Amino acid sequence: MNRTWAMGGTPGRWLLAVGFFGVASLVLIIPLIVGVLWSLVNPDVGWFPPAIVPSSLSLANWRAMLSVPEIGQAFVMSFLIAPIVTLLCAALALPTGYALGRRQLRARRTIELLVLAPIILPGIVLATGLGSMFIRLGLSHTVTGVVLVQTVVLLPFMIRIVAATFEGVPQDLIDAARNLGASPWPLARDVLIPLVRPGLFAGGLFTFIGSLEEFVLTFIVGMPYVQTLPVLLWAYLGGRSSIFTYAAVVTMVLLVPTIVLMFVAERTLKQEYLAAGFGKV
Amino acid sequence: MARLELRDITKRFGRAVAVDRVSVEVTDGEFLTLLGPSGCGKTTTLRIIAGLVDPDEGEVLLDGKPVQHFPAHRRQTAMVFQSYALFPHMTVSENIGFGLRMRALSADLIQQRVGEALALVELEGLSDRFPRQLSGGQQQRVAVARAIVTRPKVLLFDEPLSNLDAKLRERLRLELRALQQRLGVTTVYVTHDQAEALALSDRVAVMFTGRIVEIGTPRQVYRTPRVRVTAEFLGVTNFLDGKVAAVADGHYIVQTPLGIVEADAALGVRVGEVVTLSFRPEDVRIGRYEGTAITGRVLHASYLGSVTDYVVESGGITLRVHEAGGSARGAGEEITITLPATAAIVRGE
Repeated sequence: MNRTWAMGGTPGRWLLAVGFFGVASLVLIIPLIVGVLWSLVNPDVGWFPPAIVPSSLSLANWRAMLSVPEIGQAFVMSFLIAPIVTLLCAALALPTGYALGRRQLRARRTIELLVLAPIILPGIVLATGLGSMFIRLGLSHTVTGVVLVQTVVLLPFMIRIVAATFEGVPQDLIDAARNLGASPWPLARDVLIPLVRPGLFAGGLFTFIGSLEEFVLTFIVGMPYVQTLPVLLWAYLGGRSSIFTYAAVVTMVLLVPTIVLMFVAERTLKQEYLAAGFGKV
Repeated sequence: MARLELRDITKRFGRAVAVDRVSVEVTDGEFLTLLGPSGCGKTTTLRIIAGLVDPDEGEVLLDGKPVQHFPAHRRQTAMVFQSYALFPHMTVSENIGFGLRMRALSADLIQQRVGEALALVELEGLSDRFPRQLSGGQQQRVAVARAIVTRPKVLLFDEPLSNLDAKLRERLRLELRALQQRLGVTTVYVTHDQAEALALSDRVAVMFTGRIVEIGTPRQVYRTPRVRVTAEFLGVTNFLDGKVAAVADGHYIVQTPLGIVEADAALGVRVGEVVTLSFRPEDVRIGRYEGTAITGRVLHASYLGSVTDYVVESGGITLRVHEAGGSARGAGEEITITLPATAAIVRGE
């Protein structure tokens, strides 16, 4: 494979690189730049077509947004809920992923379908159903309720990834551990969990980001007391009117920590993969 | 160290019978090899000993005591896997120490024993490497060290050399045998490589379709197989049908279409019975010697280095003949060959 790459020569690689950056800039970098610009638009002057960049920049929007407690509270709420949801999903996905990935289950297909059901259902259907249920259970407008409802929709992804990782663990390694005297708990602690750690990291990252940007269910279950960044964003973009400038600030507040997190995770993840890579086994 | 006994072990996977009433005893310190083609049930038998597979019927006994109720992690067997099964997230010394940590030994003792094991397999400098940083041969040694460090009662090998190149395989074969003799540990070794089985074992158990068809010393199973499949599986052989003409001094005189061949005493063969003889290509000598000499024509000759392999036709029967060295005889050449002084009588179709 590597050989073909090398043989493809420089033109092929260049084309690929250019293509990649083209797509990346179209879907990632350009929107990001536009977002940054919107957050810096001078409210006295505005930004109207056909100007490609705003004629005047200022920090007025940032000052305005940061002077009200709303955004800080939403930030804290978002970054409080996301780790809890991630940990909860990881704790739930580990045993389920093990069962789906390593056990010969007779009802495996059915269980998989049930696990995936929340993804297949349209979010709004799920939201109305769960919303009314949560009201009856007294979980509406609470952080617990939001954590639970986010877990419901994010857990399937986590389970899928963890199950696939479990499936990839060679049976010989498990047999070897048992043969060397590992009873079930040390087997899980010293062999299985370290081997599926890359899957847990990857799944955890998805879940964390999924939690940060989850809107529909958080809105329906959490409003008006639990306000995360996406809910606040909606307030500026959909609720009162479309205040692009403020929305852009909220987006930046949501986006920058996420990107930093992605970078850090990608670094550690790579190390993890190296350490747990299945080598020559 | 221990005496291992299998009694009427049977294992079915669905309708297929993987292991069929296998009974065998391995004495203290003995090296027994289960030899057979893939799918003959030898690996399943090994896994049953380790407790990784539960048999449907039969018993595994260690020192006369049944161990069936012990789960794998309490069996006191140690296995070397074909894939080595080294834990990729642990260093060499962590891998080797794994079994000791599971037995909750003190850190000092673990370190000492891991050091000894590393020295035993000559990997002292590599203790902090990860398995993926090792060559295949080094990984194999780590797997062996990891198994012996726990001082198991029974050491189990599942084709441990099959992923190595021929040269290394041969060297590690010698090392394995030396190590096993030094430790004196009861060993069951699974392979499909007949040379490996002959070189390593005290006894070889030949398995076909889930059954042990023959068991004996390497010399016995190679020189005097009792079953046709054994003779066929253990290298190249010649089969020759004949009729028992007489019994003399515990030897049978067998009349074959090519002439008289003596056979060693096989149980329960009567005069007048039609039997199949088996003899090795290296037992047939080119030239006229004492015994039955016949003339034949070389159909095909292949030079193998240490020997030359001839296919010789005589009276409508083809024989394989090995000649040491390389006096080049070409196809079509007429030669005189002398049939072996003794052959083995084999049964089965």
